[in-house]
This record gives sequence, structure tokens and C-alpha cells, in this order.
Amino acid sequence: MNEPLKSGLFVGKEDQLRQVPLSGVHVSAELSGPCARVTVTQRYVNREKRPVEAIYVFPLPEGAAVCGFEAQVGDRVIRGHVEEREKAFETYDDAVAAGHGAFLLEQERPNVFTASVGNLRPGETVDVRITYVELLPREGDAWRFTLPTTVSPRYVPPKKNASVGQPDAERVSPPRAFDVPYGLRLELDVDAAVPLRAVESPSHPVRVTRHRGATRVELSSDTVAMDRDFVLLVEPEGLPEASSAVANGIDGARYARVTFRPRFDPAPDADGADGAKGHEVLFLVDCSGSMGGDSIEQARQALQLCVRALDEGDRFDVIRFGSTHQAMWGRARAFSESSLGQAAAFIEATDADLGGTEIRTPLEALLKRRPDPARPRRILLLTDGQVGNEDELIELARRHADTARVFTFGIGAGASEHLVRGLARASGGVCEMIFPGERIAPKVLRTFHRVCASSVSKVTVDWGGLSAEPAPATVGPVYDGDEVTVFARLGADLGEAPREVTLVADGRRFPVTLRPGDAVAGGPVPLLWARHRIRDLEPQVPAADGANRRLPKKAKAARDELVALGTRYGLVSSATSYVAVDERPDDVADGPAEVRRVPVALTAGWGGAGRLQPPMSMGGMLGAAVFNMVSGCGARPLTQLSKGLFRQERCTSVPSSAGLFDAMPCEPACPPAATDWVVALLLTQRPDGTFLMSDALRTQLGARAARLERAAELHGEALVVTSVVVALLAAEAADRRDEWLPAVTKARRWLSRQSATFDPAGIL
Amino acid sequence: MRPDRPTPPPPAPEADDPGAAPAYNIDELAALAGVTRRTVRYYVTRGLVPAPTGLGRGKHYTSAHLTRLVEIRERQEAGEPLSELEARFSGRGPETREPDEAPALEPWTRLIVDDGIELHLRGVRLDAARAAQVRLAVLQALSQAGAPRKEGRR
Repeated sequence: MNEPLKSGLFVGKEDQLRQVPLSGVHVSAELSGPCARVTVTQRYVNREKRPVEAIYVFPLPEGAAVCGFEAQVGDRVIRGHVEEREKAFETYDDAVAAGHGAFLLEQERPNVFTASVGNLRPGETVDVRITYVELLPREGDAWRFTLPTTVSPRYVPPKKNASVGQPDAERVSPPRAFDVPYGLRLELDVDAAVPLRAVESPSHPVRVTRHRGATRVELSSDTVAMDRDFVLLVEPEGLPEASSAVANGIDGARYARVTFRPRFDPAPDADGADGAKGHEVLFLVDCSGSMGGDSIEQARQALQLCVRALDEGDRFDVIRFGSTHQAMWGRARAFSESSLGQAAAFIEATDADLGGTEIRTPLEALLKRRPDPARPRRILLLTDGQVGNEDELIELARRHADTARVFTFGIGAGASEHLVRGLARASGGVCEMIFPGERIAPKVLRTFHRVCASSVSKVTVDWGGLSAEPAPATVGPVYDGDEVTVFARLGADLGEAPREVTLVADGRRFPVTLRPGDAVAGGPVPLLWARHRIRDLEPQVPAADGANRRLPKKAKAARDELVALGTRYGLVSSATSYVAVDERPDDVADGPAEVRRVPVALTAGWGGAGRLQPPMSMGGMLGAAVFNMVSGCGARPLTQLSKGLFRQERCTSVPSSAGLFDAMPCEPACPPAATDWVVALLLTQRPDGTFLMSDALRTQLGARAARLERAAELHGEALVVTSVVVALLAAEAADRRDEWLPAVTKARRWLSRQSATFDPAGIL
Repeated sequence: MRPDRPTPPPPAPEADDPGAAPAYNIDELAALAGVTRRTVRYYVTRGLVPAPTGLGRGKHYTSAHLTRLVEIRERQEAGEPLSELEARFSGRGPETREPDEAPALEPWTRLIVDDGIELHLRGVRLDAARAAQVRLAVLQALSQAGAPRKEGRR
């Protein structure tokens, strides 16, 4: 398989034999605290006899602040600078026309970018380096680092408003192939200042080494296929409940990051009116073709867990959608034994057979259903997010944020973060990403914990009298145990003494201390402040098309600020791009360059096209000028070997000596979901909150089961078993409180209504 | 994603005949047609608009390019998809036809008066000075009429 061949040919279905000018991608990331700094190096090589212009559409995380762009030609480094988007294009276009080397980086979506490398001369190699910083989302006790690698095919609904120039959908639709002749190399370093408890990747076998407290994570195999996200969960030792950082910006201003993790115990009364009557929970599940295979199976599992997590007093409905949509009932019904049974059957019969991803129609229909004044509306959307009209949908959710919160599950190996995170953020919900093989239960139950309990919508940050310009400008609803991070540009009144900043959630105060004396120079904080400001502004500017239109005044002001922010902080946005020009003497012009669009890999498991398998095509390593011949489906020798690795298991680090083949059957770090006793037990809960005897319970109790059976006969099964389960979870699954809390709350409520009580201590 | 760069057309011997037809560079062409430069490149790549005439630094666009560009813009705005436009124009052979053999030019000016107010003039070409006068006149007329400035064009 590693036999070197002399050329790297891309064999497309319709394409002629054409060389792909991208030979490899190398990612190097550094983590310090919750911020990551990532450098992506794309190596372009022209193996043709004529000059080419390479155009590569690629993804980055949706929160990335792209803050650096340079090209290395031989030993010369050409630094890019930021210009207004159309101006940058013109600078680039002029340079290409004049025969110069030219490099352009543009944003198509907050998570999709285009790199253009103009006038790549025959035989020439160019490394394009893109740098970004990002704030890592917290997931449970870990930070989640995600590196998307491919742009999945998207469903683009027909547009209502005609636009001029290149159709928008084309901008995010690069040519696709089952295999591409370039691959990914990756390493990630964690600062020694952050002691780690665990590092694991649900997406790839990784190798972890430690040196003087610092940790390095590498892929077990040198190069992996770019057909799935790289996901790494980094769990630090004792993550603080609140933290802060101060930085001195290059402009002389000072910037701060403050992170809070409010816990509301006991639950607040802010949304308390909800608690009494329950919620209207509408499940919206994506059954489009792209969900086929792994994704729809995960969605079904998640849904089965979801409907069982509902509470007495809740009303619910399940809606499947694709090109069309079907509601189970068409109106929300009360949660009961019979409605649960119907829903379970409906979900079981759900498949990815409804065609395109027309989210707008069903979402709009749900948002426009008449609201139930006693039950706040919660929409749970399960999707891979492969649509082209993200902004339109996010705007729709924003408009209805008063009456409905949208909680999203981003499912699959390459789900579109822009859509799923954007929808949740705009409506006050929360997003969870589910990679194939990750345990679904904790995420689903965590989401339900948020849906049903403890959220506070009136949230502000008290800067303790400091003049601060915060970004994001407003803080959405805050959920018990979730992290909230706000950035700010601070005024000159900061001084050097420690200051207190407080998150005020419905009267409760969660303080953190700001230490200007410990300020660092530069770093990610000023950039992330600007990035969050950009995110606040971008929705105010309508998507540009190819006509040279005047914007309405308000939109123009927002766009002007985007341009100012982009150029001042060196950031890419919808209104600013990076451009670099390598001026060449006139006489070296080789004639006009031919365009080569770099094909991207089809997302692993996309539309059921092959279940998710470990990487098998080794291509385009950096530093090696040869790569393997890749020709369609034939080159998949590892398929049989790889079964099982990514099914229901998490894959953890493997020893550094392990090669690609050795890595395949590595032991799962956690038991598969089916044998997870907590989940199995929770699934047996009845709609009224009670538990009865079950195999899951017997297995966990072992010898104690006999005592339980006797007590159940004497005092009544529901009372005894429910009391025991409540105590058992608290005693033996204390670390998974977030997962079982909603179920236990339900059970306790039932118990409190009984005339008798039962003390489970005698049985446990 | 960006449009491809045009390949150079075969040399057009009479293209540079001074006075015979106006010549535009890409910036002027885009401004006159009310599109971005990126859009001009894109249409050329898709073969909807012929590649510029001339070679190297002498490369330029003619009134035939402008006419075509405006027609595409209008049809796109009316909702006609590019694939249909391609079929429509392929009948006319946009790539084989010499731009200079194009039908007689119909002059056309699009003038942005203010936010939300555009003036489209068929059969008239305005130079910059004249355009400024017209713009001023329209603004005065509007303010005298006390008309609220409305969104929308034409």
C-alpha cells in the first residue's frame, strides 16, 4: 500500500485525468487554557507543464478567528494583509493578470473558506500557512477541539430572491471525490501549565506523549484521509469554575476574557413558571439522504432516549423531514404510557428516505404553531446540517427566540457547525455535536437537563464600574453547569489592581477576579474579542451577491465596522479577506494560468456511502514528494479489518509503537452504549417516573437483587424499586449526575406523592 | 469560490481601431454594468460573456461585452437560472462570435442617486459630469416633492 508511485493522479468520474495541485495539509495546534492557536499549512505543488491557479474550498471551525496568512515560496515568505473583500479580490486578480504570484483567502461561510493560489509555476511548490485562534467549547469536564477536514455536499433549496453573479451555492460546493490524493498530518501540544487528566479522540487513533509536563498528541498514523472531523477531548485536572485573562492589545487597549460556570442548586425560579406545567417539546429529525447510515442510526438512538426523558406534564410531537415533512400527530400530545409507545414505534420506523434537507418549511411550521401559554416551546433538532441556506434559518430562529428555543444535535463525521451552533445560539438553546461512535446518552441527557430545568434568561455581566465593550454584546439564557465566556475591550480606567467582574443571573451573582497585573502581551484574547464582535455584526449585513448594490444605511454601517475590525485586527470575515502578492519580474511570465479546483473527499459515512471506517487512503504526505495512486473504490483494502472500531465505542490513545494496522482493533475506552448500565436503567423508567424490576437493575445489583425482590413483594414494586434506583444512581454513578438528574427528579416527585416511604439503605 | 481566469482570445485584428467603439477596462465595465469585478470574471469563465479582446496590457472590453453583461444581469434578476442563460446564449454562439460583430449597441446607464434610489436610462449614455447633474436634479426634485425615500429600485 505504501509503494511509491511517480505521479499523483486524481481519477474522477467525469473529469479528465488532471493533477490535483494540493499535496498535503499539516496542522499544528497549541492549547493553553481554553484557547487554541492553530496553524494549517497547505502545500501546493504544480506537477504540470503550464502555470496553474489552485482553488481550494476547505472548512475551519465556525468560531475560528483567522488571524494570519502567509505563503512560502522557496525560502521567501510573503506575508498577507487584510483588505475589504472585493478590493482584496481585485488586488489578487491584478497580480495574477500581471503574472505575479498571488494568494487569496476568503470566507464563504464562518466555517467555509476558499484559498486561491495564483500563478503556480511548473514544478513550483508553495506552502500556504493559515493561522487561527479559537475558544474551545467545554463539554462536560473536557474541552472539545474539532478540526473539520472536508466540506460535505449540501442541500441548497431553490432561492426565492434571484441574485446576480455566481450562485451562492457554488461558493460552498467544491468538486468531490471518494478519495483524494492528499492527506492530513496533525500534532497538538498542550501547555505545561495545564495538567491533564485525560486526552481522547472519538474520531482517530492518537498517540500521546508527555515531556516535562507538556503533552503532545499526534495521529497514530502519519497521514490520515481528510474525510471526517478530527475531534479531541482534552480533560484538564480540576477545571476551575471561573477563570479570567487580561491581554494588552497592540493598539494599546486592554482586553479581557471572563469565563463563568454558574450552578443553580436548588433550581432557580426564573423560568419557574415552566417547571409547574412542563414544556412543549417538538422533535425535528432530519431524514434526508445525507443522514443515511451511521447518522440516522444515531439520531434514532438519541430520539429514543429523548422521548423517555420527557416528564409528566410535557407535551410532545415528533416530526421527520427531508424534501417533505411528516408530523407524528400534527399537534403536541401529553406524555403518557400510550403516547410514549406510539412515539417509540414511529422513531423505530424512521429512516433517511425523505430526500433533500428542506429544514425551513417544517421549522417555520413548528415555530408558527400556536404557542401553549403554560408550556414554553422547546425544539430539538437532530441533523447533519448539510444545507446551503444557514443564515436564513438562523435568522428565522432568532425571530422566534421569544417563543421557542432550539436545541440542536450536530450528527455525523462532518456536520456543519455553522448551522447547528448558529441556530442554538440565535434562539437561546444549546448545541451538542455527536461524532459517530461517541456516546450519545450523556449528550442527550445533558440537553434534557437544560430543556427541563434550571435556566436563567435574565443574564448580565457586571463589570464592576469598569468601562467595557463586551462581545458578545448580550448573554443568552444560561443553563445550570454550562460555561459562559464573554470578552471585552476595556477602557483606560482598568489600572493594575485586581478587579471583580460578576455574572448576574436572575439576581444570583457569580464573581471572577480580573488581574490586570498578570496581563500578557497580545495572544488570543484581543483577537477573540474582535471575532465575537464580528459574529454580532455579520447577521446585520445581507449576503452580498455579484451586483454592485448599495446597502441600506444600517447594514452599511455594520459592514464598515466589519471592514474596520478585519483590517485592524487582521481577521478574515464576510467583508474582509487576506491577500498576498509575490511580485515577479515581468520576463518570467509563462502565459495564463489554468484553473485547478481542488476536489475534496466525500464525508465518511455520508448518506450511508460506506459506514465510518478508519482512514485507509494514505496520500500526499508533507515532505514526501511521492504519493499513492488513488483510484476510486478499489483502493480500500482495510475495510474488513476496520469494522467495529467506530461503532459504539470510543477509541482512545494507542501506544506509540503501534502502526496503522496494529491500531485498528484497539480496546474501547468506555463500554459500548448498549452495556452502559446507567443508560440501560434510565431507559426502563416509566412515564410517571417510576422504575420496575428489570434485567439492567438485576445485573447492577448482583446478589442484592434477591433482597430487592423480597422487599418489592412486601411493600409494592414501584415504591421499592424506584427508591432503590434513586439511591443506587446517587451512590454508584455520582460522577454522572448530569445524566441521571432529570430522571431522578421525576422519580423523586412521584415518591413524594406516595403515602408510604421506603428506605433503600437495607438493600444497598 | 472564485471564477476561473479567462483564456486569451484569438487576436482580434481590428479590435483596437480607435474611435470605432469604446474600450473599457474591467473596472469600468463592471461599474457600468452595475456588477462586481468578480461577477465579470465569473460570467466570462462560464462562457456567458466573451473573453476580453486584445492581448496582455491591450486587453479590453467593448460595448458588446457591456450589452451582454447587462442582459445577463437583468435576466438573472428576473430569476432566470444561469443554466438556461447558457442554453440561450449557446444558440447565439457567444464564444465564436467576434465582439465587434455584435448587434448595434443600445446605450444604457445605471445611476445610483442615493441609498435605495437607482436611475436606469435606456438609450442614453451619461458621462461623469452629466451624471452628477442628473443626480443632483433628482435629489432636488425629491426633496421638493417631500417624497419619502423608498426602498427598491427603478
